[in-house]
Amino acid sequence: MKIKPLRILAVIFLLSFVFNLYLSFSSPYLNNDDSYFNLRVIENIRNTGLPIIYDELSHGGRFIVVQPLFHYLFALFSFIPFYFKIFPAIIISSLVLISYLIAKEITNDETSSLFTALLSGFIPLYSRVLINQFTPYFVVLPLTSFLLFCFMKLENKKYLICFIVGSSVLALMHPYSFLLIFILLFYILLMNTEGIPIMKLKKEIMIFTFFLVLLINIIIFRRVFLEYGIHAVYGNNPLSNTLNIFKSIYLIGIIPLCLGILGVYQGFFKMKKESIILISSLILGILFLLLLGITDIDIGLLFLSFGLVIASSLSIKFLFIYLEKTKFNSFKNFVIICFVFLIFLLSLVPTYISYNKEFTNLNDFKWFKENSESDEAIIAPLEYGHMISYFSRRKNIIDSNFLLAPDSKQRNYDVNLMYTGWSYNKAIEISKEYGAEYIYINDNIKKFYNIQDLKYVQDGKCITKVKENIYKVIC
Amino acid sequence: MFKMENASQKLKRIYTKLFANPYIIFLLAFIILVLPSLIRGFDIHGQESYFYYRISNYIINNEIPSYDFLSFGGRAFLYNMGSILFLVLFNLLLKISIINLLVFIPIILGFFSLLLFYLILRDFKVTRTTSSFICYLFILSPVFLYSFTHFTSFPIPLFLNLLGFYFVIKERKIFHYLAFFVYIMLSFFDFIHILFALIIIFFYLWKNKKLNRFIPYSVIILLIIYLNNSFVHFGINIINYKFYEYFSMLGGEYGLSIFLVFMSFFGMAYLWKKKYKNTLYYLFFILNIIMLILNIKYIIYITLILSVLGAYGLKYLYQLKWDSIIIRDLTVIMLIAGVIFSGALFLVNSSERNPNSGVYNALIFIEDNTNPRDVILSHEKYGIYINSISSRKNFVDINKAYAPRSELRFYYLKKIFYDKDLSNTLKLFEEFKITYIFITPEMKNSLVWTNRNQGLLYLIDRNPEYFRLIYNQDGVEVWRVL
Repeated sequence: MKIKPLRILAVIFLLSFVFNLYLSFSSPYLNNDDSYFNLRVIENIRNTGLPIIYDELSHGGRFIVVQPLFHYLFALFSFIPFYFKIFPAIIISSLVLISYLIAKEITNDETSSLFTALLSGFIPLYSRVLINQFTPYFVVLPLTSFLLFCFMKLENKKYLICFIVGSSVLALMHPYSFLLIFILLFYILLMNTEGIPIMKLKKEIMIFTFFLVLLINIIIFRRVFLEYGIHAVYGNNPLSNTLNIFKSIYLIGIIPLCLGILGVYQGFFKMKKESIILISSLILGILFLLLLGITDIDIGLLFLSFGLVIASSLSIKFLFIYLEKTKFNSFKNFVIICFVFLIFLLSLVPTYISYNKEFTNLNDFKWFKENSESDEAIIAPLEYGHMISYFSRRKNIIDSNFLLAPDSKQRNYDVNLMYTGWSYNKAIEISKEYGAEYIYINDNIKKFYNIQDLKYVQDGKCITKVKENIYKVIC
Repeated sequence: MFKMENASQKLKRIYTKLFANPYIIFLLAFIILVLPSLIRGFDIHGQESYFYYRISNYIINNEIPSYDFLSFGGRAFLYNMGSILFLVLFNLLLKISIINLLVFIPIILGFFSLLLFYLILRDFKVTRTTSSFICYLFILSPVFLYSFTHFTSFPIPLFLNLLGFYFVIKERKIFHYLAFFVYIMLSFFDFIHILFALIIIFFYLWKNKKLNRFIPYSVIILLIIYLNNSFVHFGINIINYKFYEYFSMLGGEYGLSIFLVFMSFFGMAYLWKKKYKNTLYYLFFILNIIMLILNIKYIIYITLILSVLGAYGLKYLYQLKWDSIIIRDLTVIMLIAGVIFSGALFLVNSSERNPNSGVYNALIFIEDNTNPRDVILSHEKYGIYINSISSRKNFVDINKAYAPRSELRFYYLKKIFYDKDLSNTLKLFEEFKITYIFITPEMKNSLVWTNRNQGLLYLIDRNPEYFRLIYNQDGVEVWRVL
């Protein structure tokens, strides 16, 4: 009896969902402190009906810019228990369905589409940037890929409306909507170089999307543009990104990387298929952003890996076509099982291994809430900034909201100096400057800075240990 | 169904009629021009206004000086005299105070410039709807709002340029003589205004095959420029700007609206329909772009050109055969919304009083408590205010052209702001006779420093034997160098 492809797809979707949910619930806390910032905005919306405009806890108090659609959307569902774990798991798993649809559009082949769906469900990078995280990226990636699918089938009015609505939602949700612009620009470029005429409706929708994204982002980020001008694109980020090639290959996944590159080659140079040109544009668009240093490397690689997974569909199709021409065709089922096993081994297992429970014990932050004054600031590394605001309800020195943040480079430098420096006087000076009364240091921080403890505490009496991971500045 | 369609057509016609009504355009322009003054008060606003206020007052009370003792610690009096002379003449002839002139001239000239622009467009047989749309684009451009919501170097020359050109395109000879008179007046202003006049007259006459008429205009204008500038040796003032500084949202003080630029692309596409038959327009456009690259002040004229191109661009975009009417309408709406938004945003920002009361009070304090020979160190943004409100010498200001050793001064300014070496800083203070330091909240919040641990802020906080805080209100600090 032949199993219906849709049933297999449903199984893959459920498998991916259960896997994501299992990893999410394996930790009592969310990964990535940005998740807690988003929860705080949602709480604010629930309490006041408005997102946070002036955040008195971030960087000691400053204006912030948020694209509020994401927060409003999930504020509606916030009555559901663990909505911040369940919805990300469902939406990330929806990538399985979207990639199936795109692959089907590209290959018109069930087997390769299903394999693509399976591949897209378990990309190792997910565990670093998507799983158990409540950031807009878990919506942005599926939405962008859905928009690409709609773009492929634009002649159908249903998809045209979906594209208009989807692109508006994306523009209102995240600045990554600019990626869509870059994808479409590369699409025009590649189509022109290949001499393939672009459908008129597609040209129209590209003009529309361009102005839509530009207008919405300019309206939302007007204050940022006025403050930084063109440098706004770099997001006032004090951190420098470095790309580790081998780690990136591991995180993208060996199979998507190899088959993806092969797929792009086949589709672009041999078949000259419009749909694969669109996927190539996604890859080129994200590479372009990475090259300019505008995007975070992990997020860039996430989109890149998705593009490669989709491009893999062509390679998988050709692999099976080739197989049919050989004597191994009688072992087709065995090959399929082997391939599934290989995907599990090279994609699912690395995804599981790569998953890290970022925070295991956050009781110290709750301690701050009960044992410190409300106007006191706490020194903690950048990665803990939002935890201080969310759990302790106290001012942090720095967090990852760099746009419009005062003096983020200096703050980052000073906070790092608090952990790595030797000078007692300097430490006192820094804590005085930021009005900080506490210094937070746990084992992860010690490991990160490669220190046993703060090096200067014995040099004076102003910094005393009040708890295992907490120092208080008493002078 | 047919009835409904008829009604919608009728409604559309009514809207178009209303939208294209010149009275509506001028009413809107008047509201936009007056609004910032209504919000911030009918008073002098912005650096340029204060500069003209100081110089005009000085000339009225004394004479045209040969040396400006206050700017850059003292410099030769090398400024374009056009706007200053107009202010002085109006003051002497009409007995209107300089402050009132500075407040009302831009509003009045803004209004009349728009009127002239509209009339010129109508003379060129541009339809009423298109002319209206061009005017709307111009009114909502950040450059127009910058130029006519407070006194700058733009309102008078732009008005004269439009008036001159309006006379040139008229058939009657009397207008041509009037045009000569206007252009003679124009030659007292920046080079860019005269160059625009020459370019536009040249292309207009070339297009109408009357190039022989260009000779008297060019001879008279160039002769006056020669005579005018042989004394002061002015040039085109080529100053390099970064590409993004030409756009108002991306860092320019009064740049172009991005959406207007995009509309103009479509306008170019519209022109390109006739390919090389429009070569004259391409040449005109390219020449103007070159002028803009050479001097950013030319942006006012580029905005005029882009408003025309943009309006045609939008018309072209709307009239193209679209597969989807919804997308067409949405795209057009977004372009218009973008233009309105950039104008509105600029209007909101320019409605805040500059300088604000905190800075103003501190400058008055400086005037009352310092010696006229004292040099006040501050960011260049406050240089003109130090001259005009405190009547004291500044270290640097925005009038960089022809300032003595201006590059060196800006180099030293940077050194003073960021160097933590006390002896070096004191040495520079002594060399330039700096006796007071004027620090504003804006300077402390990223214009110069980001925290008190940097450069000069670090030094003044930790060396009470060399620096004494004599004023500290609303975040504005005045320090005395001991």
